[in-house]
Amino acid sequence: MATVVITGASRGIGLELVRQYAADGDHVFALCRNPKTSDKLKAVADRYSRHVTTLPLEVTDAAQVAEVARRIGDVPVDILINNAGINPPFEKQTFLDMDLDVWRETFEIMTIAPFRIGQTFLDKLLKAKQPKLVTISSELGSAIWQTPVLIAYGSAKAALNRTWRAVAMELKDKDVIVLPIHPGLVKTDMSGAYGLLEVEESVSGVRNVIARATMADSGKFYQWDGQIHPW
Amino acid sequence: MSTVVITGASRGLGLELVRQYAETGDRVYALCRTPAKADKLKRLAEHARGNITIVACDVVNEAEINAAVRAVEGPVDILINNAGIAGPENQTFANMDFDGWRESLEVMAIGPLRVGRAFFPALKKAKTPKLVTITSQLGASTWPGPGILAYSSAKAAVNRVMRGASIELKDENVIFVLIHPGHVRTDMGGPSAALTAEESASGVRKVIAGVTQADSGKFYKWNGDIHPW
Repeated sequence: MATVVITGASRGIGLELVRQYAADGDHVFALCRNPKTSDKLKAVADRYSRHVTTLPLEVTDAAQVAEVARRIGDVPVDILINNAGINPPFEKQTFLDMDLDVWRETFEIMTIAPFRIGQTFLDKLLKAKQPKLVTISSELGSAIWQTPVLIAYGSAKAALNRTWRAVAMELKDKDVIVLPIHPGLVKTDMSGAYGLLEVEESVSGVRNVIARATMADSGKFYQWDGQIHPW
Repeated sequence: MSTVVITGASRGLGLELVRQYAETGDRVYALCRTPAKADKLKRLAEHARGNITIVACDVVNEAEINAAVRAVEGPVDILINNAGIAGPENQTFANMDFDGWRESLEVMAIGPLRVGRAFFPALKKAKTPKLVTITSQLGASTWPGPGILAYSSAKAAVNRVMRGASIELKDENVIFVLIHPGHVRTDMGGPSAALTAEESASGVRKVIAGVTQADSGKFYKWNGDIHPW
């Protein structure tokens, strides 16, 4: 039975991660901005009440990150999954019409916040036998993405990938397995009409990658089906 | 004779790029934050043949960017996003200066887009316009070490920005290139760096001169080689 911490737990990939880990008997700390009004998360938490604890967390708020870590307490965390994400509207993220405040917010949520959360939870991760520090990334952060890219989202994911690759090296001596994972192009609110993969399949794959990862995999860019994704 | 706009022109690679382009007779607009303090740049401009214009421009300041655009006459053949900072002293997982990280992103990821799009109309008017961004091998996934996270992530971000822009704007005539200038012996690169500013700038100029539309979106090194992402 593992202890799993998941951000962005109220819908999409995060919600499904909560559901699958809880159904498997793990203990899940499901973090999202408003657990009290997240009906879908509440439904999952009710169904697996002995396995899910919901807690509020706005990932960009340093004080809230510290507070949620305090509330979770001095326990080993086997898996931390930085999943919270945002994808602003396409027209606000082009080269010519970029909304800079939106872009800065995108960096805050997807580049800076996962890092801070990772730092804050390191102590708990180090108490686990084979800790895994996971961040849900995206192929859009990769240089090989060919269609007009969502520049705010893509650049934040590229920065994320580059960051975790370096963090993996820094944490090598502490035996923390660091995994940026591309979940596939998943059918969720965020992807709108562009999703290709059902969330169950994506998350099942992501969990499998996490479960099978060893230190040799730390810092690599996997995707949900176990294949390596080019940077 | 080309019109060349260069940010971060007061020292290091930027200053040397100004010198080399001016020497070949190009019209150079040298953008830097505090022209009053840019002694070397001022001396360069004084000794030039009137073809260096110094313009105050901090790449994080929208008003200054717009003023710089207005200060530049005519089509712009080459824009070089060169302004950069090393980032905060603490940029590791063990110790991160978050405000310093934000500043690095602001200057080196957001700045190049802001400057690039502001000058885009002027670039489009040129025959073979080139929108160049000085990046770094540290932004690539191949960098074998930890640390320098703020700088590296900002460079990875700007690589993604410019590659994305080259795809978004492939029907325009502007050629987007990213260039790793080598590890250069400047204030930022440090005294043990292998390459002089002269060697680096010379190589960078050659790469810029040689790129065509087919090369838009690529990641080069100063010596003309392609750099892996």
